[in-house]
Amino acid sequence: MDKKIKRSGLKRGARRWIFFLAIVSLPVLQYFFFAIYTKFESVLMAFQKYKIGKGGYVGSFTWDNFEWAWDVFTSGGDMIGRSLIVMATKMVITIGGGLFFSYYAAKKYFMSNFFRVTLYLPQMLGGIVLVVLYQYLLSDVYITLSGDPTGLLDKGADSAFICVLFYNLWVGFGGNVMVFSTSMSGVNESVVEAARLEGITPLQEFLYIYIPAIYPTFVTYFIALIAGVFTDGLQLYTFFAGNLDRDLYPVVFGHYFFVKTTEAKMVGTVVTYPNLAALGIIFSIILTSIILPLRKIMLKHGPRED
Amino acid sequence: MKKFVASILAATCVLGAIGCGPVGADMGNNDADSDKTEITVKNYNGGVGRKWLDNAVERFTEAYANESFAEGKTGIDVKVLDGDLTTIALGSEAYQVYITSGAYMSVSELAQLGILYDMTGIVTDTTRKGDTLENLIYDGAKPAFMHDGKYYGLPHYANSNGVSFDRDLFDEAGLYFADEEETDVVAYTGKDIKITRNFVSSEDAKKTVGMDGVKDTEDDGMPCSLEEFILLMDYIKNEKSDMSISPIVVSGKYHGYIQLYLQGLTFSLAGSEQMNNYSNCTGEIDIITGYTEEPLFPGIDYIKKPIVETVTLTEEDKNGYLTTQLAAKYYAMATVEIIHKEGYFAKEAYNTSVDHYSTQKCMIYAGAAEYDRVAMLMEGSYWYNEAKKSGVLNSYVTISGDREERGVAWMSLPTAVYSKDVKEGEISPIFTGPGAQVVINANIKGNTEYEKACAAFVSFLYSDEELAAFTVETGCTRNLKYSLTDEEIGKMPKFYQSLWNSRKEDGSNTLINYPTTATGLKVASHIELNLNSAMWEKFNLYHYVRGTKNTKQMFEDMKYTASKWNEVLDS
Amino acid sequence: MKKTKKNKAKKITPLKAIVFTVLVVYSISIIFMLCWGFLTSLKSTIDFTDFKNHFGLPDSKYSSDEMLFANYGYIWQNFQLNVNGNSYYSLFGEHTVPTYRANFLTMLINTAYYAGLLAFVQALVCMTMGYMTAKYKNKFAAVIVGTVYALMALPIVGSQPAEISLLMDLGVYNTYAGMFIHKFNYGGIYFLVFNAFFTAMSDTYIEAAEIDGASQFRVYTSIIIPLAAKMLVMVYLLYFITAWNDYNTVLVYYPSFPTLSYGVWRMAQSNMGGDSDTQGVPQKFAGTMVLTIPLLVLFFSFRNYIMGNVSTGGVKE
Repeated sequence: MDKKIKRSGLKRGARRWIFFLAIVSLPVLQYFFFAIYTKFESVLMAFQKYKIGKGGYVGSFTWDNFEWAWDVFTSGGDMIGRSLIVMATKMVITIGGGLFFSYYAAKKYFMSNFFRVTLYLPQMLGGIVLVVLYQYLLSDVYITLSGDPTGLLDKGADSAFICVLFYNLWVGFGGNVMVFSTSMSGVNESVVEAARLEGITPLQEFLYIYIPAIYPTFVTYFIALIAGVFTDGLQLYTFFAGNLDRDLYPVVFGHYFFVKTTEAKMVGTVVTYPNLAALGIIFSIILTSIILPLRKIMLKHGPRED
Repeated sequence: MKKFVASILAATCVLGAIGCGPVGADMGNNDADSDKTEITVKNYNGGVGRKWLDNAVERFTEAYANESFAEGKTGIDVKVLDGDLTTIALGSEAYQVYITSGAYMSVSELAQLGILYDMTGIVTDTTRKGDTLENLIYDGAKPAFMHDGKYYGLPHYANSNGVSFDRDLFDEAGLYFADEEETDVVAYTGKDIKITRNFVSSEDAKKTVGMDGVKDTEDDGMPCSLEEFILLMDYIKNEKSDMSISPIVVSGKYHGYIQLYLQGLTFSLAGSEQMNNYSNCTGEIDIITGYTEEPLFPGIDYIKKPIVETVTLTEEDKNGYLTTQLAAKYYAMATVEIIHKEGYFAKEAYNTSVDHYSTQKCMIYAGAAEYDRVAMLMEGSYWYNEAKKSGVLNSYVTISGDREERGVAWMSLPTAVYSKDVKEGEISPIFTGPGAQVVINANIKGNTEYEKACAAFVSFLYSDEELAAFTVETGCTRNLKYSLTDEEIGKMPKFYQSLWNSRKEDGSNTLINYPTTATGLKVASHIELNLNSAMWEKFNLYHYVRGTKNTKQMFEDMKYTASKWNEVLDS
Repeated sequence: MKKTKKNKAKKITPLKAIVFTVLVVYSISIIFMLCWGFLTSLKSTIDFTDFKNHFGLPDSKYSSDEMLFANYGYIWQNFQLNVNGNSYYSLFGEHTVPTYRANFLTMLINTAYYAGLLAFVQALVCMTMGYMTAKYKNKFAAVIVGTVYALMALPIVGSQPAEISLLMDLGVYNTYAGMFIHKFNYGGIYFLVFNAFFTAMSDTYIEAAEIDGASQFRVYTSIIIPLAAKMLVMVYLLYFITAWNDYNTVLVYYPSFPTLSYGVWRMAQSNMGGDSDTQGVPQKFAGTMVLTIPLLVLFFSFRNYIMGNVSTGGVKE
């Protein structure tokens, strides 16, 4: 169908090329700089120490940033521990448990439409609203009802961690259910009918028809959960702002990194952008070496629809 | 649907033309074609608001209605816009006068950047009615507003930190120390601290004359020493238990407010001279070099008496690290441990939902609603204005129906650990920082109209009448020598009357914390005792609550070694 | 068939019952929180904080000044925060962003720009790029798509400092222009969603239009955009909701342009200071409701768009 219609002396192919380049050039330029270049720049920045020179920042090569980053990383055992606990509980409850609830929603059982709305609401409302309400429930209301003068978020890092973990499970639960149930509702009903005629139980239907159907989505969420071990701030900034006292607050690396990013500058601050760039690289190396092979293995050996 | 998409596209085009500046910024452009001179003032709204300034501007423009600052122009308009000074690029801004919070940089630091107008002419102006401003500014305040021998700013309001008390309650419960010769007394031996003193038993009984040695002043009946301060709290808790009063309160949510108390008490115990030496790292200070087994106060065994030595700090010896061992700081911290362990804190001090407004309610509500009635409050002196603005005072009227103004007052803090060491006539200092500032933008230089107008405006704001009007309207003082008539004092809320009366007009008991030596300026961020300073980072009430650390351990954590000090000096 | 459906409807297994119960409890918890927040926002501070009326109806005995919707009026008048300026070095010299005091209207305007306009720009860029890479088959298009996939798969952490540094170098950090540039991007899942959508779309319409003499631009604006309008609206709404709630990005990249969510967060954390101390919990809750109610209105108005198409990698009409 490639009709060559000449207009203004240009062939269709040429016109399409010109139009294509004209339209994509700016977005591609933006993407190149903000998605690709910044990745390289953060690698380069990690090896630089800056000072203010005439009219700008002047950098010199150093390993100091990696030294600092490695110290922070290796002394952050408690932060990693908390992140792993969150990851594990989310895997079990929001992903694992969520699959059962997704099945309920996908099969359009009683009140499933209503539940889809309430499951989606926390996703839509975002962090601030629910965190603020939750915070005052755990402080003012809890203190009044229990007589305990200390709110649940103020009893130290461990108590605060349980509260924050519960919050994240409570809010994050619905999102997975929504996505899984939508994927499950794409399963061909005739396949299900045929399997029923052969006498499978509901549990077998769930395990052998629906799980394979949503497996790629499941893998995506599973991998994303692992990838978030260093980036997920658990809404800690919304709860506690920039407080990083690990005796009092359940700090994780995602929160630590975000707080330091808000405080840092190129020069002059205790933690600078080059420091954070080096820390980011350490995280990236660790995550890449885990996630890429894991994803490959899971997709290769996981259940299939056929 | 198409309409929806189309309207969004249209909005994209229209709104895409938004300029790069933030909406809401008011750049104060004056109208060059007006027949009046126009200047713009950027006023920090957060401290004392702007009502006082609006009133002052009205008086100023009326007084100068027939004055000409430029050819063809008569009179002056002053535009007031809200905002603080937080950038060094004043040259690109269109404000002429700045009334700032002082939080960004000191005037001296700003002046070094060349962005402030030289106000020496205004400060040394001998045509001013009364004395020159230079002679009025407190000596301790001057260094923060000068650079290279010239003045680049004037002190605006300054707050104090320490303790406020409920005078109505003190009167009702007889919580004052009685004069030695008074017989209508309650002789009390502490249940916690084993010392004995007399308290007044009626409103007419004579109180002690206080640290200043003068009768009928603000410190009458107040504790002169730490041991008396603790005995007072002991008396309230143990002897006045039927009145259900808690001796003292601080915010349970924001324990940083304890630092305000620690700061005020440290300065009071150390005194002006020692704290100046501390800030500048030169001169004599008392430090702690060890601990004995003897209790600091009889009956309170867990605080040991320290070994105190007087040392001389010099820049050559680089022994400024010894400031981190300041004895007065230890004593102040020790009182917090005692207050906690002896149960003098109201329950609100441990309630993590109780913010500073709620503690102000403890003070103002006098036991109404669900709050403890408290005798004393750890806060800065600005708390009363905060309580007014946030509606705490109005809420009290709503709840109690009582329209009479509550009698709360500023407390003169002890000046010695033991009563025997109190020097008569030594007044409890009011501690304050350089505070807020009034400065002029350097970009007016060369513009005769602006120079004349700004000089006239600032001089007007700092006339004797306007200095008094400012204090009467806001309750806040400025670090200058000026007086109020009895009528003017009577117009202020009782709390601010008490604060005014605590302050010596000549500034002799106002301690302004600003280093003047090179070492002092360099190490200020390490040793200063302001809210959330590096020193107080190591202090936390919950160490006492959880039993994780005591005063001695926290005090030792704050110490700097000589090598760490040298690193700071070399950085 | 009918008999099967009846049996299916009647059969309540223990597992179904448990799942149903958990979902009911979950739904109640969400609805309770929102209702409690709204109810509290109608109370006075004396009522909630001083007299500990945490769950009851507003008590009119305490202060007529802070009752019912008065807290919302208070928010409208007094919702202010001091926004500090900053200065930094760009490639073009020192750049300074001034300080000022942001009020409710300022934050509303910033929100309209960030969540209203820029979210649409982002959706439009995703759609355009999705179309271009789907319908203009060439190696460059394949590289564009491949790069997006690759970067999504690679867990690169911590490029925010480099992004901030780049924006500073360009002299657009913490400016409206910088916000626009930053959001003018197509990286992310919705680009791939659009790409899949346009790939599946028949070329018939396009070819017919070209035969009739339409230019490429005309084809895009008159045929493609109307066909993809529903999808565009869906993605825009999702971006809008994300941007409406997003204060982290504002805090890091555009601190001088507070949006409503940033303002509400600041207010909830501490008092605003100055003449507009919002110290009461009811007032803070009123602030959160100001953030919530428009979203709920939007959600229930466009529920089918937002929820009907929420899936990863899936496209539904």
